[in-house]
Amino acid sequence: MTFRLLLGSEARMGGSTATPNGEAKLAVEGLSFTRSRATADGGRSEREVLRDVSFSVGESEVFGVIGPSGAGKTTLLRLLNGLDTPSGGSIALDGQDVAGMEMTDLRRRVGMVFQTPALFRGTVGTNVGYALELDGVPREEREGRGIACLERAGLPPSFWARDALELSQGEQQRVAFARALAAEPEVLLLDEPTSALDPAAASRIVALVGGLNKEVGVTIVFVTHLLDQARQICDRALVLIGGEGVEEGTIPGLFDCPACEATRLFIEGRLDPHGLVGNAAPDGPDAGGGDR
Amino acid sequence: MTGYFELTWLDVTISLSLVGVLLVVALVQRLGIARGVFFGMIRTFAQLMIIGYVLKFLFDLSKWYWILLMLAVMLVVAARTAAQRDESRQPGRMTTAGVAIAAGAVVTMATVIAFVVRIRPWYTPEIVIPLSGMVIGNTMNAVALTTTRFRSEVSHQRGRVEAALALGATSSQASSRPFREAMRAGLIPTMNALMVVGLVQLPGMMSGQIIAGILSVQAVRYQIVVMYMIASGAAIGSLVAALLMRRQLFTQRHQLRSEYL
Ligand SMILES: Nc1ncnc2c1ncn2[C@@H]1O[C@H](COP(=O)(O)OP(=O)(O)OP(=O)(O)O)[C@@H](O)[C@H]1O
Ligand SMILES: [Mg+2]
Repeated sequence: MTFRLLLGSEARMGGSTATPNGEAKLAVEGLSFTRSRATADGGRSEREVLRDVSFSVGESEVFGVIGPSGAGKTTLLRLLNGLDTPSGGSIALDGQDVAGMEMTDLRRRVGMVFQTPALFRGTVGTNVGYALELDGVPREEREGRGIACLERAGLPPSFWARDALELSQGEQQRVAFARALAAEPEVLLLDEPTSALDPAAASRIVALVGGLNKEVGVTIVFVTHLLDQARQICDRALVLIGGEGVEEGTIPGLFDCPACEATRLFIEGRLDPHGLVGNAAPDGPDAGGGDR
Repeated sequence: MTGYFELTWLDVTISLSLVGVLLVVALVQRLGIARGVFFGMIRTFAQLMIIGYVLKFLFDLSKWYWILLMLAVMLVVAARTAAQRDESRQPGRMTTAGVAIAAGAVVTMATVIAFVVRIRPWYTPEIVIPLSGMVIGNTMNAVALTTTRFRSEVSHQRGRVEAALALGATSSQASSRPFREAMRAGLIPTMNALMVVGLVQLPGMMSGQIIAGILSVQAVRYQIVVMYMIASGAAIGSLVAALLMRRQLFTQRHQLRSEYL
């Protein structure tokens, strides 16, 4: 386990640390999202979940999105993957606005791993094979390529035939990784991939992410509310609080001397639960502990 | 008429006591459906009385536009009933149900009129009204089951559906499993009916003739045709309903409209 942790921090140091120069892999400009819902009485209620969020992610970078629960982190990833359409602003992939792209193509280029694995019924092979099938890989090549993806995700080939829903949470999350990798995405969006895992399984996943970035060169957007995780693998990060991007910066710097008051309170664990900048919490700040 | 056991209005009134049992159970057990039972009792009586006169009127007139109007009314009532069983906030549920039921009924009836019974004129009410009624009623059930099941499957499998979308699947690919489950749910009652018809429940068409003491091989033949008709109506209705639901639950850009779940 220690060596895996080491691999994690090594990956961070190995990654690119500079801000993206020239064209960004992913450039987000003034992104906003308003959730509108039909109400019981036939009307509509609207709520702004993201407001004017901008950031850019460099090629092969591990970019963190950190913020308290309810800040809009999942919402942001859903917009990047095209599961929801932004109400304003733009997202560009390699300088090209995604609004004009074929959605299925965009999603194969920008993959996503959800907070919970959401595996399909069937075997691990069914799951990974599904992504390969969508990519047009002929049936006879799927097992070979799928097993390579499993190994990338830290699972032995014997898992191919196992029932996906009988696996442990950590194993399921790895299958979800393998499934996302099978599409050979250029960008991988990870939504708190360790939130359902115990600390040991969590740190193995974090190490895995660092390794993937290093070996495959895939650009990673890593959502977490755990500062330690962000410290371990992220090159840079965006702090998202109450639907607004309050600060973007390189990792040790962002944590060591935050420019923004909200960031400082969040890092010190003193941000009030509603994501608003509030007074100091009654109990002392908990080093590295975000919100609950 | 020999062997015909006549019912008087007094006999019908006595049979009211059977519903009385239901009413008492509903009240004692506080099921909260006593009102419904009461009105259901009255509606059964009123609707069948009225429809008896309406049918007699239609049969005497035998004008195609009156027949079509009658069929339209049947369709609207069926669409409303099917839509009411779907407890979502999605607009246009009744249209969906109506289009699906109409598709199943029209295709089936047209085929039967043109190739099976070959009646002249095509709107002969004695044939068209009862056959349409049976097809519409059965298709209504298939459509209601299909739409409610589709929505609940997508809702329960939302994580998987969106995981498939996130991998680059189209909305048809991502919802293929809910689609199949919904159609299966819509068609199983009809499948079961085909299996057990005559063994457990005698179909209405034959029962009527048995009681009236005039059961004929004609009634049996008609019943077989009716069974095949309801199968075709249910299949077409269920398929159209599932296709329409899929269009409504997803956007053109392959996004799940979760506000309708
Ligand atoms: N389906 C939904 N319907 C209504 N509101 C929603 C829905 N999903 C999210 N929200 C709201 O949008 C806001 C942002 O939610 P989001 O899931 O993006 O937060 P998050 O930062 O990912 O939180 P967490 O760390 O708890 O996962 C929250 O206030 C949440 O209540
Ligand atoms: Mg989230």
